[in-house]
Formats: sequence, structure tokens, C-alpha cells
Amino acid sequence: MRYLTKKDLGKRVYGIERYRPRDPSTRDLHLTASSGTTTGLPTFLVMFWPLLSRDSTYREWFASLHSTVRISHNHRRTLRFFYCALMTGAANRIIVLDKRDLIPKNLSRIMNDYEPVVVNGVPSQVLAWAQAVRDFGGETLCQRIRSVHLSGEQLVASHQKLMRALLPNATLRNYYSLSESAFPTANCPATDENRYHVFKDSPTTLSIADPDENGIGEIIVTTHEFENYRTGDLGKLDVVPCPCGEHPTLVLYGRKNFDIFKVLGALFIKSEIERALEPFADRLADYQLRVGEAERGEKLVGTATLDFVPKDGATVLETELAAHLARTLFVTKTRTLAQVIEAGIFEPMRAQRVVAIARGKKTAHLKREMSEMTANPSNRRS
Amino acid sequence: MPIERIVHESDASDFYRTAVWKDTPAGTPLERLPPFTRAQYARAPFLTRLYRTHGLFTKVAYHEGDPFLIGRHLDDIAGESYGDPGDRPLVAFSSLHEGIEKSLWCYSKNVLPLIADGDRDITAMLAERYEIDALLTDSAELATLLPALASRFPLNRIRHVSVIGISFNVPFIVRMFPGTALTLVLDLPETGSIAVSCPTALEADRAVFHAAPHRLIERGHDLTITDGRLLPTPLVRYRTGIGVRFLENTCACDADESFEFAE
Repeated sequence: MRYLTKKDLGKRVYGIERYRPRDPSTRDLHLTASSGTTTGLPTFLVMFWPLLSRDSTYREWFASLHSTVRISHNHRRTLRFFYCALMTGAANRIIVLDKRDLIPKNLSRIMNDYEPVVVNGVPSQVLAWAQAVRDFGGETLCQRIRSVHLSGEQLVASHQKLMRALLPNATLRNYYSLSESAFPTANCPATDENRYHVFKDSPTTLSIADPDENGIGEIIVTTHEFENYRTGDLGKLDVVPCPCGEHPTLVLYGRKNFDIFKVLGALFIKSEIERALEPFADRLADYQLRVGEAERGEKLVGTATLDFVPKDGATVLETELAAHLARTLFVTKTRTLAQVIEAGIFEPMRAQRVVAIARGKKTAHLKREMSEMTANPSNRRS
Repeated sequence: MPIERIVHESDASDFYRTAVWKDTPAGTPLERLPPFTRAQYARAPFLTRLYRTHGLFTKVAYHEGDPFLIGRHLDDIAGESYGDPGDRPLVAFSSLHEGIEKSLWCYSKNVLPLIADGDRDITAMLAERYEIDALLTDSAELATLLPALASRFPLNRIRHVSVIGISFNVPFIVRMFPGTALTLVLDLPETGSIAVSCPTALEADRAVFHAAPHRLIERGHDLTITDGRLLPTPLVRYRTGIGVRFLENTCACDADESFEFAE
């Protein structure tokens, strides 16, 4: 079978031939782009999403969005969200928060005025929002939140725990999808966070490529846009009916390639780490950067620890290596790890000499700390 | 029925009756109703001044540094006058709220908008690949985005440019887009398009405006408008705080009423 990969989508606007300006069919189209961290160039395409006429579960889902606040910095996804919610016509009001709106003084006024009931967004940003609301004394506002819809980022156990504490009356729903497509799955509330069902009436079909003896392989999707598209994520399809009655169930096992991880908005890219450590190439026999989150009181902070094995006879100071990596490693387009440490988002990074790197077959120079994660390592970059 | 009557008789909100038109009986002619200011608008709680409550695109604006909320309906957005969106517009605003709203307007014309990313280099790269032919923006965003766009493709590829807001560097805009169809739209977040530039005057580097459809504009130094539609928060004798000067002579384009910014 021939599979479509991200590289096949090319440098043009994939699917642009669907677009006929001034034609009502435009209502089913959206422009979407990936961040480009996987292939080096954003995948840019016209997403076809005939939501307004056919996908009943989507319509019902959007219809449930009463007094919704959206927390996301992805403008294209936010536009799509607004457009669909308003066009389906049932949401009584929706609002997105821009960076200026998140300043505590402004946020207090806006949220007290708006009275949100539903929150939609990226887990780390939703959590930061909930903490900010609580910090200005908005406990009543937090208690009024009825449901939280999350997507676009790993939902780690520590996120969930804090979110449940901050938003005690909210139901958490987690969605697994692609930046490239409105491929719609939602976690099953009857089981655990790691099991997903495809929305009813969705034209999406799922299959697994190259499954191992346990049925785990790369998730392949066929959607409106693609036929047999390789997602880069590992999963299996459980055909045993779920307690909720749905089937099949998609069980996620994480990324196929472990070369990019996002932690509290900071993006750790294997090639960037290799670039930053290039000055130490003649002194390091092996290394691995472990990244993750840790709870500090009621806050989450990022952690980064570099384990390294020096070459025979080479001298490498732990403090020197940690300082160099923090200073030279870019974790956003404009900010280094040292700058996000300075901002209090990450704890000071550590480097520690080890005898050998404990490395499974899937991990290389970069490892996501899994101890605090749920069984849901789905991580789609938007 | 005139909008002021509809608002006066509405059961949806008491805002005008209690906060603006206290002691003013129903049926009072429009020109005798007390005007309503931006400060009043910004100070009043959002949910108390809504005359339509469902299907609201809610956005945030700022008055003297303090935020206030505005509700807009898709039908109202569709009725705005933001120029020509072309076939492949880039929508780039310094406020995400305005960017979303103007993108929704493009959708209402069955035109697929590319909304700007927070990162201008990525925006320019996507704009090049999308082969944009139109740009909707505000003055602040235009000044910072143009170098990124110009580094990617010739600006004369853009055939329609709409600059939307309350300040316009007309010589700069005209110089950057020679031969392009330019539209300046006088617009506040809470009003939508108030007035649109006269193309004839713009050729002479002058920003002269004519009222947008549905807007009744009163003569006076402080631009005061009434919107004939039942907006989620209706605008009846709304004082915008924008200083203007009305032109006595008929405009070169034959429009009835024209004004420009006061000195």
C-alpha cells in the first residue's frame, strides 16, 4: 500500500484546487498549517470540513459551547473554532483571549464580565489561565466552569491533577487530532484518557501500518483531505466493544519518532540540541536531555536534565555544560532555555555525569520524562 | 421602526433606558436623545447591555487601558464595509480579536482568509505560498509586517489593500502600494466600519470619508453615529471621541456628506 507522508504534501498549498473564490463551497474550507518542526517547512493546506451540513457529532459538540472561552495562541485554529461554533449557531457566546487580555488586571475584569462556563484550549495554557483566575480571587468563576475541552498538546497527569483542583466542577475532555486535518477523536469518558473514539458520521477511517505482535503500529488516517496518511503516532485499534458501546477504540502509544517534545510551551528539538552541543562534540561520548514537568506547590514548572558520558580523558564540568546548553538552546523561535528559566517557567537546568545512558530503542538524545504522564502521550504540534 | 424605538421598547436590556436615556420618554426624537459615550459603554457590565444574547462573537477592546467586551453577530459582521477582500486575502491585525472578526467577514463573502500568525516571518512565508492578492490590516500591523512581506514577494502582487482603524499614514500607504486599490476604513472595535475613504480624494493623498451603509452620522466635531441595525449592543447617538471636520463642498466623487479628521 502506498502511504502519504507529510513530505508528500509539499511546498505548495495542498488541496488549493478545492477552493473556488466567491463560491458557497468556501464555507467548508479552512487554511491550516503545521509549525514545520518535523520537516523544516510548515505544511500548508486547505482543510475540507463539511461540518455545517453533515457531521452531526461536531454539530452537537459545538452546540454545547455555552459561554465559552478559548485559550490558544494558534490563530488559524482559533479562527476555525470561532467560525464553526458561530455557523452552527447554538453557542450563545464565545471569546478568545489575546496576550494583552491575560495580564492579571485585564483578565480579572474580562472574566468577571464574561462569566465563562466552558473552556477550550491547549492544556498548559488552560492551566495557566485557571491559575491566573484563581490568583485574582476568581474561585467562584472557576467553580462555575462546567466542561474543559483540551487538544493540541500532551495532557500529563500533573496537568490533570491541578486542573481538577482548580476547576472542581468541570468535566475534562481530551481530543486527539492532527494539525493537518479535522480528524476527530475524543477520549472515552467510560474508560481512561488513553482511549479514543472517532466522532460519529465522521468520514475518517483509521488503520495501523506495520503492526507488531501486539497490534501496535503507526496510525494511518484517511480523511477528507488525505488517503492513507501517516500520522507519525503509534497506536492500536481495539475492536472489542468499549463499555460505552462504541467501537473501534483507538489506543494511543505516543510518537513514532522521539525527536520533538513540547513542555509548557517550550519546544525541544533533537537537531537543535545537537546544534547547541556541537562545541562539546569532541568531549562527549554520549548524552541525553530529559525534559518534563514537576509540581511545585500549586504550580507546574518545566525540568531539563542533561545526562552525559564524557569521552575517555576528557574534562567536562557539569556546571559549564548546563550553563552552555541553557544559554544556547532555543526552545521557542526567539527564546533560549536560559530565558524561560529566568522567567520562572523552567527550573534551572542540571547536567550530570553518568556511566552510561539507559536508552531504549525509541529514545535518542532527547527523552520526555514519562513518570508524571498519563497513558496519553498524544502530542500533536499545532 | 427607527432603531431608537426598537431599543426603547426592548425587553432584552434596560441599558439605554436606565443608563443613557434616564427621564427621556419613549418617542423622543433621535436628535434630542442624550448621546452615549465610549466611557459609558466601557463602564457598563457586558451582560447588562446586550440586546441580543445568542451566537455572539465576543471580543475585547480597551478604553484608557481598561478592557471592555463587545458582542457581535455574524450577520452584522457580514454587513460591514471593509473594502475588497480579493480572492486570497491576508488578514493581519495587531489585535487577535480584530483579526478573527475581519476573517469572519471574509468568510461571509465566500472568500478564504489567511489569518496572520503571531510570528511575522511565518505569516510572510505563508502569504507568499498562498499567493495573496489582498491585505486587510491596521496601521500598526502594516508598519511591522510590510518588511517581512516585501522580503518574500513584490508588494504589487497585492491588488487590494484595506487599512482599518482610526489612524492612517496616508502618504506612506499610498507610497507603498502604488497602483493598488486602497481603502481606508474608519472603524472602532465596538462600531465596526463607520465610514470608508473616498477613492478620488485618496488619489490626492487625502483621507476623506463617507458614511458606511446603515450609519447615520451627525454633523459635529465629535463624530457621533447611529447604527440602524439592532446590534447586540445597539449604537444610538454614539459619541466615538474621534475629532472630525465636515466638508462643505460636495466631494469630487459626488457623495452627499464628507468629513476628514480634525487638525
